[in-house]
Amino acid sequence: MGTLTRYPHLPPDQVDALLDQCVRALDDLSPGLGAAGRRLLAEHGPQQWPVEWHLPWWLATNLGLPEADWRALTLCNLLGLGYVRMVDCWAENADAAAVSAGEALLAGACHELALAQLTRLFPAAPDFWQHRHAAMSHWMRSLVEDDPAFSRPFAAWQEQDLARLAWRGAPLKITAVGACLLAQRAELIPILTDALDTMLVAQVLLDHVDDWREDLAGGRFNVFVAYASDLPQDAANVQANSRRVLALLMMGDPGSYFHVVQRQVARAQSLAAHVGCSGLAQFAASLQSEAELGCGRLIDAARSHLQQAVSRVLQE
Amino acid sequence: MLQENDLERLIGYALLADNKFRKWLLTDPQAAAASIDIQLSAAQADYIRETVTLRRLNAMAKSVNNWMPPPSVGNWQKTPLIPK
Repeated sequence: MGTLTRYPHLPPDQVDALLDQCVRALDDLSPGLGAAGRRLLAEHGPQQWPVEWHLPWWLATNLGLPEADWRALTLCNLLGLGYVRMVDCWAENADAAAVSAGEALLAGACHELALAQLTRLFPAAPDFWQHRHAAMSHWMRSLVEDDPAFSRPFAAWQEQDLARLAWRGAPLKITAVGACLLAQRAELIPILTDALDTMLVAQVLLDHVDDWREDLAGGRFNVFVAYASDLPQDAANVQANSRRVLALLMMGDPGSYFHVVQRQVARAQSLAAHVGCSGLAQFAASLQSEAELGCGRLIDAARSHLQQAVSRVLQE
Repeated sequence: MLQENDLERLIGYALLADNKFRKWLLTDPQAAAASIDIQLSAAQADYIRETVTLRRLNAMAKSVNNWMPPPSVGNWQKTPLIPK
C-alpha cells in the first residue's frame, strides 16, 4: 500500500483543477511560461509532494476555512514549490552557471505569482509577513550550507543543530501560518509550525540517507555521512567517507540515526493531532511506517550485498 | 550472519577497508585480523592464504564500494525539473 492511501488526499479532479489554475496564472504572463510551468508541476505531483499539495486543505477541514481560501493557499504552495525546487537545484548543482533563461524566467514567474496571491490574501497582516520573511530567510540560509554544525561530528550535534535542518523546507510553513491567520486562530501557529519543523527534520534526515552518494560526489554536506564518519566532508575524504557509510550500513548499527527520525516523526504526529489537523497527523503516521519499511529494506539490501561478496571471495 | 562468523566478518571488513589492509590480510592474516580484534586460528590463516586471492578480493571490494542502495527511503525523491 502506498502512502497516498493512508491519509486524506485530494481527488484527481481537484488535483487537475489546481494544476490548471497554476498553469492559467502562468499562461496569463506568457503561453511559454504556462507550458513550462505545466511540465514543471506535473513532475511535482501530490504523491511525491503530499504536504505541499494537501496541507491547506487538511487545515481548512480542521479550521473551517472556505474552499476559496484553501485553494488560494494551495496555489501559493504549488507555485512556491516550483520556485523553491528550481533554486534548490541551482544551489546544489555545480553547473548552475548553465541555468537557461527559460528556467530563470519560470522561477521568477512562480515566485511573483505566489507573492501576488499572498499579497491579495494578507493585505494588512504584518504578523504573516514576518513569518514569511523568517521562513524564506531560513530557507536561503540553508542553501548556503554554512551552518557551524556541519563541521562537527553528528554525535556532537545539539538539539538546535538538528532543528536547523528544517530550514531546508521552511517555505512550507508560510501558508500554514496563513491558514491559521485567515481562520483567526493565531494561537495555533507555534504548535503547528513546531509540528512542521519536526516533520521536516525527519524528512531531511531520510532524504540524506537516499542522497549520500550524490552529496559526497557533489561536495555537499550530508547528515548521514556525518553520522557515519567524523572526517571532514571534503574532496580529500570522499572515498574514506564512502567506505564508512557502507561499513555502517553493511556491518554497523545505524539504528540510532533512524531512532532520531522516528522520534521526530512521532513528535510531529503528536503536535499535529494536538492542533486537530488529522490530515497532517495521518501523514506523519504514514511517513513513520514508510520510513521504517524503507530503512529496513535498505539495511537488508546492504548486508545481503556484502554477504554475497564475502561468499564469492571465500569460494574455492 | 557476518556478525556471527569471524572469518566472514574479517573478509567483510577487508572488502570495506582500503587496499593496504587487503594486502596485509593476505600476507599476514592473523596480524590483520588482530588489528580489528578478531583472533584467527592458524588453520583459518592458512585457509585465507590458500583460498583468497588479491584479485578476487579487490574485484569484490569494487563491487561493494559501487553498491547502489535501493531508492526511496526519503520522501523527497529526485525529480527532473522541467522535462522537455
